[in-house]
Amino acid sequence: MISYTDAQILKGILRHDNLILQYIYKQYYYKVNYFIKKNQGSEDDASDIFQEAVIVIYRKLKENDLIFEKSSFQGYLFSVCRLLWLKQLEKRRIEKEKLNDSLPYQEDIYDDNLIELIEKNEKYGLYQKHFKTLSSDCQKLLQLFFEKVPLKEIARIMGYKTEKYAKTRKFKCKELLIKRIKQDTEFKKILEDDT
Amino acid sequence: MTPKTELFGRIEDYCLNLLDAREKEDFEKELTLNEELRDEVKLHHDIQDAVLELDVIALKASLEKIQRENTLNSFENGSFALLEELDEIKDLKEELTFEQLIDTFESLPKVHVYQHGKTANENIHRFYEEQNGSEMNGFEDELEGIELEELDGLEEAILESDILNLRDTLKQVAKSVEPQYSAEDIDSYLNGEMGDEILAEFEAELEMNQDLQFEVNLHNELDNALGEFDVMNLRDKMKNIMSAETSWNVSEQTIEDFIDGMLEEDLLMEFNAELKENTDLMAEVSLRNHINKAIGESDILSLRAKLAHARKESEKKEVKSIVMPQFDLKSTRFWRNSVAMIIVLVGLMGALNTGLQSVDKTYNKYFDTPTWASERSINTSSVDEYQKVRQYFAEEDYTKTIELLEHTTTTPQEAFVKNFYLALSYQNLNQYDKAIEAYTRVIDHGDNLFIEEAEWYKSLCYLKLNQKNEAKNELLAVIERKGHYENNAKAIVRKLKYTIK
Repeated sequence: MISYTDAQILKGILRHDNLILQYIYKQYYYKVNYFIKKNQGSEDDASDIFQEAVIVIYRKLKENDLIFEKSSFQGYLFSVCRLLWLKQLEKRRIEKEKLNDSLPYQEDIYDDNLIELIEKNEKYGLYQKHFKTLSSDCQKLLQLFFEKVPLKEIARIMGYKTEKYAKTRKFKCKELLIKRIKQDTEFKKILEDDT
Repeated sequence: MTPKTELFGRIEDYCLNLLDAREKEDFEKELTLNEELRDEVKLHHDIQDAVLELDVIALKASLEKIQRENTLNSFENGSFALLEELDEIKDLKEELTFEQLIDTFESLPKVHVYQHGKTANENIHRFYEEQNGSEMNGFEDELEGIELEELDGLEEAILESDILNLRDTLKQVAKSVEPQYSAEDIDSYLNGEMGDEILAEFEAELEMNQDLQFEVNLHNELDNALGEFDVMNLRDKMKNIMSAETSWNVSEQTIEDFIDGMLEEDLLMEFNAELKENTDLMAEVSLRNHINKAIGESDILSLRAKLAHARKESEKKEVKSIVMPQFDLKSTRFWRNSVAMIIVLVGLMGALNTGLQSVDKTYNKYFDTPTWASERSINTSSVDEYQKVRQYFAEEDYTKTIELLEHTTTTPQEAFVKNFYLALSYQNLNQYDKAIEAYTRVIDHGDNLFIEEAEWYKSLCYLKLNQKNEAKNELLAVIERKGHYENNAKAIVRKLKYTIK
């Protein structure tokens, strides 16, 4: 199997390159899966953690805040996965002290920036999850708004008669989204953690 | 002995001073000697005094009256003059909106106090007190030893039950009242579209109001999160890869070489290292091992073939039952044995199935012609026209179905219904290329309820034609929809990876 350098992997993540993403999955997932299953998690937990760890790395890359001096991509990925799983265990009130540390990790990457980014990722992930549950019409409409497409153009694309209606529809969609987020127990937990 | 009634008469006369001098002297002489009589006389005296205390009785009645009047007055006066305009509420006959009620009367707290006063003496309150009796006792125990005088005003504060109630009511009212600023206002504020006058008011409120701060923050975060379409795309991509790809990092050839014991030392060490932790790879190796073992049982395979042949032969001879009475013992035993063997082999075939399924078997497993349901997408006039077609389709006469469908007049908007059933009919007649063309037309229409099904059946057509890449593309589209066929599509994608030869 072809292997890629860390630099190639990072570039691939930034470009959402299918081959690189497949490579990452095949190369590293099973170790994360093994670690999580050994520590009271399930297959689904492992998938979620692995996926979110890649997203966290992508966010870091976007912020130009990822340099491997002492570590490698593998070390960084495993360390992020481990930290994400520790947070989950904390939420589920499971003792972290008895952790079966089968994943090689680096303590020194656990700085405030990373923890802040992980918290932001968790919160934004929740918002985005609910966004995906909206009707395709609502999703499209909000997407156009966030892409700063002019109101007139939005009305035309969506087939609305007036700009005013497009604006009203947008508020309705957003209100529905906010309502769903507020009703989510995960959101309430995040708020509790913040306070 | 003096009868009791006579004795009571004499005691009463003595107490009321009605005896003459001689009778009185005799009675008092007896009184000094008889203790029982003395007690009786004392009791009579006490009763007499109590009955004669009329002034006290009158005073008690007056006090009760005053107390009753006080209770009534306190209810009518209300607390903090909250009920000054209560008559207006009492006289209300029209139905008011929530805002009118709040604006006109500032009424909710008043109504609460009014209701509270009205129900203060009802049994429910006493019942509530009884229910909470134990709690109150506990509270009193806790207070024991604390000098209440030292806590200045505490007693007064506790007794201000009306204020406590009012505070609770206000909390409830605050909870039930809609936020002052709508999502639209908050968006206008965040987009800098708020007018100057309202903006000043909004910002002043924002500074003081924590709830509003929370709402603005949430809107802000939400705008940022929803703008992250790149993150959402990446997440979707990862999800698709993880659902469709195998999670092991070795080629099929390496797995086969490992099973055959052909792996070189370095590769073997690497493979074993992964095998130790990768549960998916463990399962794959185990499956392949079982398949190999099953295939290796050539004796059972040949026996299966012989049995199948024997069964065909027996069917030709119209053997309908295996327990026919005219069978001799030897023959019955033979059939019993055969059935047992068939059961064993059916089980073995199940085990073999996962590994040996050919394209055809996969296709047959998943292809199932749906029932006619054109009504879900065409108007009633067209429904009549489709009646005959439906009949042919139900009778599985697909040639006639195609003939009729080709001649139906359909609007371009409803052509997808015709195309879908045309495609299904072609598929049933094994004309897969034509079926694919018709399914493509349904999918390209872009806005109908048959698209997911069309993608699914189209993928099966590709599968039958052994065009694996095209089949995989269609299956991935089905998976993406997360609909009815998602799991079946995932299963086939996995098989396409490493089972179908």
